[in-house]
Amino acid sequence: MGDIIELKDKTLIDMLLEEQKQIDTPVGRFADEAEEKAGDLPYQGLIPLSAPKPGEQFAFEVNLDKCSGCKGCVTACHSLNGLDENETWRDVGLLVGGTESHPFQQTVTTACHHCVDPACLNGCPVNAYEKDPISGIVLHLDDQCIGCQYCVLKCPYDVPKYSSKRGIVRKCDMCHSRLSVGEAPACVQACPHEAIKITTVSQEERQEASKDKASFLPGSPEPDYTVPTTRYISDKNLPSNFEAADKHVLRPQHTHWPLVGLLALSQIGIGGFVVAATSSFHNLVSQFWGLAISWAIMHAGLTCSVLHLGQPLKAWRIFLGFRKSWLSREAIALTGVSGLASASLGLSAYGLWFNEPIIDTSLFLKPTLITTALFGLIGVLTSVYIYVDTQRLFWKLSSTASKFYGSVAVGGLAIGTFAQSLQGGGKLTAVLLIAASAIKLAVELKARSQNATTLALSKGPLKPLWKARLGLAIASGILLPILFFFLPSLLLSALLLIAVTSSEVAERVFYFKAVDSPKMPGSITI
Amino acid sequence: MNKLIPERPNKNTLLREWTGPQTKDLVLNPGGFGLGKIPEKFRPSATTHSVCGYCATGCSLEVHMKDSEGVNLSATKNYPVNIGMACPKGWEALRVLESDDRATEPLLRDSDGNLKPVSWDEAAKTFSQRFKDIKEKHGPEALAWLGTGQATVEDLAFLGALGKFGFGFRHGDGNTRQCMATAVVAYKQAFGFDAPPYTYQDFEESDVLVFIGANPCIAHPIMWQRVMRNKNNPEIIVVDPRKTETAMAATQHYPLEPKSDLVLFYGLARLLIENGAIDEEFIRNSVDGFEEFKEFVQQYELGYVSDVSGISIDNLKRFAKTIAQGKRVSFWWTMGVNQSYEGVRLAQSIINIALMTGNMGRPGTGANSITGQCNAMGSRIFSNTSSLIGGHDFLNDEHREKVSRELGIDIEKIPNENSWAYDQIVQGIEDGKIKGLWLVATNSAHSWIGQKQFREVVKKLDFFVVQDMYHSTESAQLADLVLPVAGWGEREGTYINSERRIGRTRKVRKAPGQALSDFNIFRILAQYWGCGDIFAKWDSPENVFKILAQLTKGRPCDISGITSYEMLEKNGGIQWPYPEKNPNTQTQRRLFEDGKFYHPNGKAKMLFERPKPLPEPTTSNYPFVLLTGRGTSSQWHTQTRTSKSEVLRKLYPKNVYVEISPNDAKKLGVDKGELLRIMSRRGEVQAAAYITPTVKPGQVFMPMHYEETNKLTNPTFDAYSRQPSYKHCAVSIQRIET
Repeated sequence: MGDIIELKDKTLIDMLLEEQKQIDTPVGRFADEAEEKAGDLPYQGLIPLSAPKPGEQFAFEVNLDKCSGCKGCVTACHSLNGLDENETWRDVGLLVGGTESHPFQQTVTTACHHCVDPACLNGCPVNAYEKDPISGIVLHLDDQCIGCQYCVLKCPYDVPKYSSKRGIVRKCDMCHSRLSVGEAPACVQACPHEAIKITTVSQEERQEASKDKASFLPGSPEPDYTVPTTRYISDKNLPSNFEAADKHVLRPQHTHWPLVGLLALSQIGIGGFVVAATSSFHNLVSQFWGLAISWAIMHAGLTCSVLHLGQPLKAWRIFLGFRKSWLSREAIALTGVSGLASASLGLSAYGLWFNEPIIDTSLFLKPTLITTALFGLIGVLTSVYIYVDTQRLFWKLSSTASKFYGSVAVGGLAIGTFAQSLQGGGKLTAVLLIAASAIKLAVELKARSQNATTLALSKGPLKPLWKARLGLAIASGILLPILFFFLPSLLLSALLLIAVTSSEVAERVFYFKAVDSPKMPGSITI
Repeated sequence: MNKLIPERPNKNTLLREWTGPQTKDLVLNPGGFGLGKIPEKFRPSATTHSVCGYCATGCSLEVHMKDSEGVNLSATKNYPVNIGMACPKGWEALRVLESDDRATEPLLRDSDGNLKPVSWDEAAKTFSQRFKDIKEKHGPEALAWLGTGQATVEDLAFLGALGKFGFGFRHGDGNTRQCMATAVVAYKQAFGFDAPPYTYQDFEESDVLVFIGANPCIAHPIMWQRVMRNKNNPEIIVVDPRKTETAMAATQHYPLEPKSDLVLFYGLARLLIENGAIDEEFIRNSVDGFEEFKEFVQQYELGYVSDVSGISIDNLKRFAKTIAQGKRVSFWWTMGVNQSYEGVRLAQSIINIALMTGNMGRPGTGANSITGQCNAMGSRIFSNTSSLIGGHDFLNDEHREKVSRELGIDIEKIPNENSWAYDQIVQGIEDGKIKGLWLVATNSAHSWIGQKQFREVVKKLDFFVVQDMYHSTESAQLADLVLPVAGWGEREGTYINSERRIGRTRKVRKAPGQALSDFNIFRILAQYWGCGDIFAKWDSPENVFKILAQLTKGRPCDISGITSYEMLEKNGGIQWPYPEKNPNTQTQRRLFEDGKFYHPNGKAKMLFERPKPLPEPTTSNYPFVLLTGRGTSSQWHTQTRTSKSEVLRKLYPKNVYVEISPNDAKKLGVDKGELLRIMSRRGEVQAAAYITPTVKPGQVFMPMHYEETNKLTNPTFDAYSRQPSYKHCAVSIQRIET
């Protein structure tokens, strides 16, 4: 047995620890002398030789027969574009189908489709998207973005990705900067099998082709909405029962609390103004407190919306997209409603506190209230169309409009009940509230049952939420109003207002979380 | 420069911000060094090339250096292996070095049973003292190490020499036993030396490629690149029970019954002989045993082969005809062949067909085993485990004398018998014969076929050391002493890839904390043990490489002509052999071009044997066959590294799943994604159902990257190679009542 040597080995350890911290290769010794000769690069056949002509644009072309599912494109894009650690602009999904005797699987690489009619661009309230006039590449202006994430909801391919760290969205730009000097995009360079190519396509031709809903790729959103330019080609006969490997996966969507707040509260507040405009309150006290509460709830909602933005200081440009973006239109409309509502409240307060007013404001109040209510209803319509415009089934016009205007109704009636109970009234509004709540609930039940994804979510991961929504709706819309009818009291009416507000918030959380979320085929997801 | 389209605008207006800090974060600029445009934030001050440390393809990665540290990487454009391409693991190779799980200081289990940080001094002292105590009490046969195919040639040689010659451990083996022992034995017996004969160029030169038990699209994506570059419009035949990604890309797929392969290839051999599709001249000059083989395969008549393999007679004929008509037919196999209880004979059945059809030693031909790990091939020659260091034989006294002379080691210290294989070492622990175990860069508590047995038996050890990059591996958690190691990118050395190409890997990053390269750990341990003098010249990886290169002189793997790391780099890696005198200096070289093999008579041997019964056939209680294999190209083995990259994590399923056919799913009433209970005679696990027609009814598939899988597999072994038979066991499946 050998002796254990002490002293000199401590120095060996120190020496080796030190050596481990050194990267001793001098820069000069391994500086590669390779010249940049783009013309010699292997991928030169994979990008066009000239810029697109008018009416044409660049597009990805994916040869499915060459894609082996190695996913090198995803990682190359990540490294060669310097993306954040958890950020990927490309993904590789899997389609499965065929029969026992002829099984079929196909990996699919996918990124931004640089659509002819890009939904992200159309929805952006601040013009942070630009369809490059020459290349047709859909560019994102990272410094223009206010982080509203509407494009995330608009894109049916789940392309723009929000970074909470940066407060903005980022997405694939087809390596515009590389293409501008005749280099291939990172994914094109990195595909070992040359499965990804940049081609020049005719926009009109893509538009025509997209009318055939099956023309794009099985298991993918239909192309007629945005006219994606990526072409998936294959010499094989793809099976008719092809579906994404992750088709069955239920994905509860983001709650978007600020949007829940904005929608539910602004609509309840607007409802208060509508009720005030269409009925005559018992007296000035009821009227003032009814309007004050409506104003406060509405503005709480509007304040929420700012919290939604990743870059609130840049939000002043939000009107820029008004030609196309319902979000811009909503911002403009609700700003107007806010002004009108404040004016109404001011006039009401003036009338309440100055018993012998210099000017008789009651003459102005009614028209102002009616205008506020009208603009409020138009404002709600802009909100409705924000979601309808995403082309999602659960958010289609009939159900979204019913729900949003339903909130206006139940919210307004709840505020009305509370305001009138200040002076011992409110039974009529309570009865109307029962009717409105029942209708709204019926609409919700129908919308849920009509949409397979929503139904599955509400029976699966969102079961507790759906139950909570149902419970609150019955309690706030039916039980409490009945109780109030027989035992009217201010306390009960206040409770009723709180219950209705909570119930509408729950409905709106479900509205966001249970929506169908189209995307490109994903891989096995467990 | 070709201005294809104008650059995007970069002037801001009041209403439109085209540029600013957010935009600048993603700005690309020419990076120099032939890289094209790359992120400005990672613009390198230098680049260097390093061979990747995952699989045996051996791609070269171009590391972008900034302030003398690697900050990014891309694939080396002019390296003959990967020609500018890499798979996701390679692209993310630097990222996995940054992890909270990195072992940054030695950890010693204290009296309360907790792993506590200690100094290297204490760790090295404890290592020596505890192992010496065991040696004194129980003898050298009570000590064993289990090494790896993931470390460099120099590390493995040091480990092997230190373990057997320095410390006097009686037993040493590696995780390479799990992946290529079968190919080693098959080649040794057939060719006279463990010599995969091919070069990657053969993928491009074949007109028929036959892949057996191989899924290169997933396991070796950059080798598949070479297949896709083949300009001969080749027939690609895949023999695999599953319709894998590779089977999808094939022109012919034969979904044989699991483990009917030996019968299939004997049947094919008979068909080929019957049809006269043999190269009589080649057989006459270069093959021993053909007549006996011909006689033997007569019993494998078509109907029987079709019944056993489940492949129709017409398809068998088509398969044989394709081989017969091919002018350059290459056969490629990986774990579907190697990981079998009769893998050696199976590999040899493939070798036999290549030999008798004359598909050997010519471009685009060969019976070619694709290796798994980055340095499995280095381990085969230098790890001093199943063969004596440098391509020698423990049982050959001349070899022992030569090694003794070349390395300056007392011949008494060089064992004259082979040591135990992995499974025998594990059994030895169980039987109380092995008391001390040293695990280097492998994770047996996850990967070993008898995972449960391994986890149980290590508790019987007097001392258990794990040397690893991460303290979080299943094995490290069981250790008495954990030694923290510098990973790929944090150390120097060489790897030998599947086509025998020696390539250099480089230090481009500082190791975290007190982690040291395996090489430096061995230096310290040698000193503390008191055998430092034997290894006085082993003071840097490059010096060790030079010693090893000289040691191979006269062996088939002679690389004595390679004199420095720089020479390796200049030549884009160098394939063995590369002798000092008259080396063939071509970049792509294959063996046996002269029809001469390594047996004394210069001929290759045909070996064959009657197929054995299945070790664990399905029964009514265990009615399904469990197949195992790789899941995705973004996962590596037990995931100790690949689970550390966020991007890679996005590219594979988070939890274990089981592939099941729609037919079986329907019978059992299983929904997509439903959690199932899978049971074998060894254990029970839960896995989510992935319903796909790509697996046949009666079979299920589970990827090996999840620790659950090897709770089920059946520890049976090839009699010749001792390689575990991972690919087949009987299981039952139940729904979990909810």
